[in-house]
Amino acid sequence: MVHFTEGVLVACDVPTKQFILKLDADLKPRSFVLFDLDDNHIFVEGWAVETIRNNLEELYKENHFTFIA
Amino acid sequence: MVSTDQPERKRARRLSKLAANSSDDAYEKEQEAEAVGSDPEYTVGDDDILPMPKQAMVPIEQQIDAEVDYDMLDSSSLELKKDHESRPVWVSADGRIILETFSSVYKEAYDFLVAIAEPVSRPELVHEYRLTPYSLYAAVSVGLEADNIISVLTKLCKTTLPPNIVDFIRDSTKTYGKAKLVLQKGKYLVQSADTEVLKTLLSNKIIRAARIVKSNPGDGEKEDGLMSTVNTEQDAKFTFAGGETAVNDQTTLNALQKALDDDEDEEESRQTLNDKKIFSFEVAGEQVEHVKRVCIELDYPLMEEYDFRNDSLNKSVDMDLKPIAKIRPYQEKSLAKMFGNGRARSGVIVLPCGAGKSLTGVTAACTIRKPTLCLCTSSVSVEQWRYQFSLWSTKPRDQVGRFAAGGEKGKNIFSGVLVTTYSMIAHSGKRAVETQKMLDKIKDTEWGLILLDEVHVVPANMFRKVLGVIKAHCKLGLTATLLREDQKIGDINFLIGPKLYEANWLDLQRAGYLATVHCAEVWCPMTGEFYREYLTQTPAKRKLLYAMNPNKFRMCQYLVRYHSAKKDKIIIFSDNIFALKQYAIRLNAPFIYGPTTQKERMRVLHHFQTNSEVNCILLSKVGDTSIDIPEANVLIQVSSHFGSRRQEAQRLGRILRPKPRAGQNFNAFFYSLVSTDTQEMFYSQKRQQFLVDQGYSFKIITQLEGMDRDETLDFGTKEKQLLLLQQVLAADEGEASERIVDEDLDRMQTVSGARRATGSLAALSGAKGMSYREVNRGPEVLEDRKRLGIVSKRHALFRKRDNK
Repeated sequence: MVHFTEGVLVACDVPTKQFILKLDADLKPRSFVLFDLDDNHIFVEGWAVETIRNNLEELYKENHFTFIA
Repeated sequence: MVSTDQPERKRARRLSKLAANSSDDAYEKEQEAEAVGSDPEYTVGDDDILPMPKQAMVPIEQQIDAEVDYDMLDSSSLELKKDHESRPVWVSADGRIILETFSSVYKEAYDFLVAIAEPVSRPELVHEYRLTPYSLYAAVSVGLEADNIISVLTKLCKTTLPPNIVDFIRDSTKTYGKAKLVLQKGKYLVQSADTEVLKTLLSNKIIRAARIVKSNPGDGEKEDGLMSTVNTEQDAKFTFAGGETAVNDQTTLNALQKALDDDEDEEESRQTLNDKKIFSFEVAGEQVEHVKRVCIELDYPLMEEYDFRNDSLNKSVDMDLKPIAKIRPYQEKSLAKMFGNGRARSGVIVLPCGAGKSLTGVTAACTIRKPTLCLCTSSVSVEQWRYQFSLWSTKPRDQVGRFAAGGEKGKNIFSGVLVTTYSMIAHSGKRAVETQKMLDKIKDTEWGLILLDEVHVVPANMFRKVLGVIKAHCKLGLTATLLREDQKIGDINFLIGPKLYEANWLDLQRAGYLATVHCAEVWCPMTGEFYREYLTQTPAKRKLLYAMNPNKFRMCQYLVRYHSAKKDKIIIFSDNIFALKQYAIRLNAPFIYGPTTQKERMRVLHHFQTNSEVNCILLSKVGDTSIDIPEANVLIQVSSHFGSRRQEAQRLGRILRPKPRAGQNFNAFFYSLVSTDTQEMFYSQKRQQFLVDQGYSFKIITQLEGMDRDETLDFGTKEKQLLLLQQVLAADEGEASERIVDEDLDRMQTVSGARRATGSLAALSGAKGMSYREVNRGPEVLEDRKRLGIVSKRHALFRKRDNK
């Protein structure tokens, strides 16, 4: 018997994976993480990619200082 | 004291701005607290407070010609002068001035611009300055006049000056600097070159009442009773202690005009200057404070000058510079501004840390040669100032008085120079009888000069109090960073005096007066486990987590080993006390923080300076200012106070002293360790702004060569990292951030009564507590807690509130 699940493989650095896991926990019950593969790889539902991207974008903005003269 | 007619909108904007900066303001407040002492009853009576002129009430960003027509900023049709290539400056209609540093007249132009405008950014090739009312006030007070400023600017500028800038200069200089308060032969004189100004002032009731009118008008007095004297001061050349050439306000201006070899109206301007007459009237000594106050209210702030050479009432102090003391050119320049017309002006001198502020202060004192009071922020710097006085001047150390808490109070306290702290003077609580007596004597003495060290940390109210209490003829403020996150810097301009001089960091570095520093921001990735916790924890815990990031520690350890091997002396800064201790234990190095006693501090510093075995020390934020460690040449910053630009600059200053080991490209290193993907990134970038404006560039290091292969670094395995994480999570957040324990106040012999409280036995034994938790702590931590327990005045539950 062969099972198959459609999804997207995300390759990222260590903290980013933690951030995705946190996001996943926050969005419960609409969890999107299918398989937590290793430190740098995670397999998620296809629809979640956009959400992840937006949230990461926000995180970067938060941690970035722009100088206003 | 916000004037009521200010539109609500502006106020709201200001408030929201303050709120946005609140976390950084906290640093200012803490530093203030350090200087003032945590004195809950500290209040300033209205009588002590000097009022502020209207201009100072307007927030800086609104002062710069708010009604600039933006069409004028359109420079597309601007015409260049024919010989524009030899002219180094461009003046924009919004008050900005751009200077090319590669021009042949750069040196002269720089000296001029730094006198009339506020430096904004000074990288290598092109500088930016800004004209503000403050800066023009400063320009006027060092003897420049609107006409001079405009004519020189016109010459320097590549294009014709925008008309609104000309108006702006004229408007701003109209009232400032027109009237002077001069102390001459024990008499207070209000002087001005313009009789109209004096008439305006005399039309005020209070000033008229304070005026002393001579019964028989002698020669030189006109009908309206104003004395007139021909201005001779411009010709009076004068040498200050240790200086080789005579100084004069005109020197800079003339040099500049010669450099531009455009001598048509030079003669003319000199002519007018020499012809000028000075009018004055005398006011009664006891009324001087009132007169000053009224003049500020009238928007004619009196510039204070002290004619110390003709002051026969105060006895002179026998002191001089030792022959070994060599004044550097920039120190000479700054002193030239101060003693520009043979009198001593009050003001602030801004020199980078390590550029010899103390020598400048000592030289000023030796020039005036009158009783000098030196105020600094802590008792450690009291000792360092006394040492500086004995090093550079002919006054032996035991002749330099010391009035500070803890330690014997010298008998030579009134032998001419006295060093004390701000909190000793301003503290309003009860004192021991002995202390009170001395304080009264300080208040009764007429001081020739007050030196105010680290002038930026002291809050305005404190100043007003100190300056209200102490009678001094001349005030000199010294600082490296005339910068505050809370916009209060403007107060200083009017309370002490204008900024007399500001040095350019890069110029000093090139000339070899400062170490060449290699600045680097080292990126340390968070480990997965730490980042997971980071994402879910409270802000206080987050701070702890990114400070204790194992990768950061490994980086730090690697850097320490690398530089130790090269026999460098390393300082590690951590604001976070928990991290400070952990790092100290693991690196096996001594540390200094708030509760460390004065004696121990001295011992640790002494070891660090002389013992070749001790190459590394850790400092909390108590080490930010005034601790002088000339040997150190490597600085590693582990954790810091949010986005405070000043802290960054102050810390860099610890390693700026010129290093003997020449021949290398860089001889000092500044590393700022930052955990990536955290708030620290944001703060780190903000903190660097000030140094970037001074022309420093930060290199980003993402990986250190050979670190991965090094098996001997700590936290190499997952188990060890997890263990650390457990410790971090168990740590008390309150303990992590430092409470400033003011040592001066602590040991000041305050009379405290016994405290009584009622409570049940159960409550006293802890049985009434909401929860009970036992955490295993190392013996060192316990001991420190015990020590902290004695000094802590605030309950642990409220500590978080304090740190917000």
